[in-house]
Amino acid sequence: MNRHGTPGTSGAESTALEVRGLSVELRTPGGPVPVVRDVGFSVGAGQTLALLGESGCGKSMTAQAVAGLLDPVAEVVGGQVLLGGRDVLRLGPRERRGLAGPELAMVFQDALTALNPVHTVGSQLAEPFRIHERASRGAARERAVELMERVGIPEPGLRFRSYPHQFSGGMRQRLLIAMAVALRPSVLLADEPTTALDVTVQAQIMELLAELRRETRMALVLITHDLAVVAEQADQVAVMYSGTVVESGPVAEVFAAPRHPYTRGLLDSVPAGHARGTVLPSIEGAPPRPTAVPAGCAFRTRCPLARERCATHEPPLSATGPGRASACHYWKELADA
Amino acid sequence: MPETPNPPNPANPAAAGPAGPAGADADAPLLRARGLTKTFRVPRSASGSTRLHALDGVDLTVRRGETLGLVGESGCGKSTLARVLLMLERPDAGSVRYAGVDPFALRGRQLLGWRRRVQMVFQDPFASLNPRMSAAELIAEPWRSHPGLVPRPERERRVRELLEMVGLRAADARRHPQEFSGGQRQRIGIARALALEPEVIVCDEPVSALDLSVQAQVLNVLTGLQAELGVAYVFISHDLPVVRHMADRVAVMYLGRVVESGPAEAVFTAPRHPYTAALLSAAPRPPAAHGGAAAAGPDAPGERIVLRGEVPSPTDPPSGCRFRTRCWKAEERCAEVLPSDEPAPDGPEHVAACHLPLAHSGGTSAP
Repeated sequence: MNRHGTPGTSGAESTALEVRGLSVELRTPGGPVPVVRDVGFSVGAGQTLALLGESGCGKSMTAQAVAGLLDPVAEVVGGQVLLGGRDVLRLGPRERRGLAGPELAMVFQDALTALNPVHTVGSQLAEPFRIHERASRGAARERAVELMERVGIPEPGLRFRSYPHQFSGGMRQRLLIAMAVALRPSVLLADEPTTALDVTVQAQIMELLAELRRETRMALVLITHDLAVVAEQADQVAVMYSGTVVESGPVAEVFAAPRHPYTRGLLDSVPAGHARGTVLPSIEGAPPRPTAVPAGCAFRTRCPLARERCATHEPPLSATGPGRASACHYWKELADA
Repeated sequence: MPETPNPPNPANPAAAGPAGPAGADADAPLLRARGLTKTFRVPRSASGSTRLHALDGVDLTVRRGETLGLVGESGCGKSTLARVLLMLERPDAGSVRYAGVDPFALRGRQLLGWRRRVQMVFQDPFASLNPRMSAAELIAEPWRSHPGLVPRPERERRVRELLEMVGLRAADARRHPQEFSGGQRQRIGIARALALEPEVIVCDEPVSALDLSVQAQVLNVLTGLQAELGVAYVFISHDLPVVRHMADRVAVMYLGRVVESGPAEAVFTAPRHPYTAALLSAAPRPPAAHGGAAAAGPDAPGERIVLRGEVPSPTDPPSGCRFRTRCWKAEERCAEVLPSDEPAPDGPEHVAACHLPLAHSGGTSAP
């Protein structure tokens, strides 16, 4: 399935999650539309991998496919999701549900819609312990209060009986993180966990995630569009464009010397580092719609390096060095520049 | 007033009125707000308060052709301030002077003339354009309220000109919003604001709904237009690197007050108010253009300041300094005495409202 090895961690550390050749299609009246195309990556225990991309690039859809939470109109049409060596895509619904929580958990962007408004946060936090560990009501409550304390909710004994709307945005995101890490999952998928929050609160949430990752050695997949968050938080990065991974490798190396023109374009258009008021380098045009992805390389219509071959041959994601990969025919020109 | 006949030179309808720039002192700031206060009635809060203090004594100055960056977290009052500057809200107290004239005192034709000169670019280009109108109709629509500005026979040509000014093609005139991408829609929003030849454009988070690769294009359009037309921007954003790139001067807001303001470089490199320092330090550092180390956006050295807690509710703001409940330097007097604006050592323009301003080691002041 995967054509040229998976980017991400090498065999040295234990791999917590490996995704190979994942493809997802949307069923539409006009026929199936591919939205995730042959995506592969892997994350080691205790590591953070960032899935970086702009809206519509398929990063959230990839995470939802991995978590088994795809919308019914979307369908996994190929690939493997290996969690502790088992392909979860081959499991039945009951077995798969059993993994949600102890093995794999997800934190969503919008904490208010992800929490149930008619139940107290305490009962929602205690639920994983009641279901997976068959804990008694009292024991589950105790665990939930501990958890609230751990994620920094003041006066957890009192707030246990509160409802989600009585919490601020940052506190709700803490609750969601608490629910996700309750059963100490080996892999946590976090889909834009701080995008809806203010900067000073963002910093608190990212710090909490980093602490939890260190404590439990869980692997973190951080789905984001924010280059700065990636630069600060992630070990590895997989850059997605138009449904597929176009570049991957260790964050420091990729950001210091990108090997795909899209990554280079993104880095160049960050205002920091350019003198005030000067013209910012920008990528011409806009990302293609999934229904109208150009033939050959999907980025070629916006690419400064594009030439004839790009229109006819889709460049596969290929190794360009230890731990690094790029899906560009002419990546060497960027590396040499 | 309403009965006044159409002025002979409609391209400059306001020039004759008291709001006209001609009569005003050339050095006077274009826009000056003093002590703006605005509260809203809200359902009773936990503390029993029924008043939300959106703005509490805000001073602000915008000069001709400059960009004033307005920075702050949600609920700090920056959007209410924008609405007051646009006369969409009337302040409870305080004054707004536009080229020396109080726009809230204007009526009829003079008010219309004033409205023409202060325009707005909205955050969400998907919600702010009528999907049933073409790009040309959207751009020409403001002329229905200001019929004298561009003579009818010239309008088609002027629409084409405006499209090209914002980097679209003349052929795009007949397309509808849904046929454009987010960045292109935002360009239409900018062209629409420009159609009335304003002197100030209030841009409320103009690029935060756009993808990064497209943000740069729109910022470039705004920068280019300012150089070409000399229009002033009030640039509201939570994105500090973007503000630093765009702004000549910056005002930092917290819970309805401006806590620090001054030349952008001074505020970003040598923040005086602890909140400004925390805000700069909390923002993740973007990677440098191409280089290993992060380009220190805020040049805050060393440790990251992670604030405790969250912004208190504006229905029940703390006494004294609004920031004291989260400030690591707060003392007793911060709860008792509201700090006033104190100038920084690096220049009288740079002021912070803090009893215990941060000191910066030598060499931080502008040369």
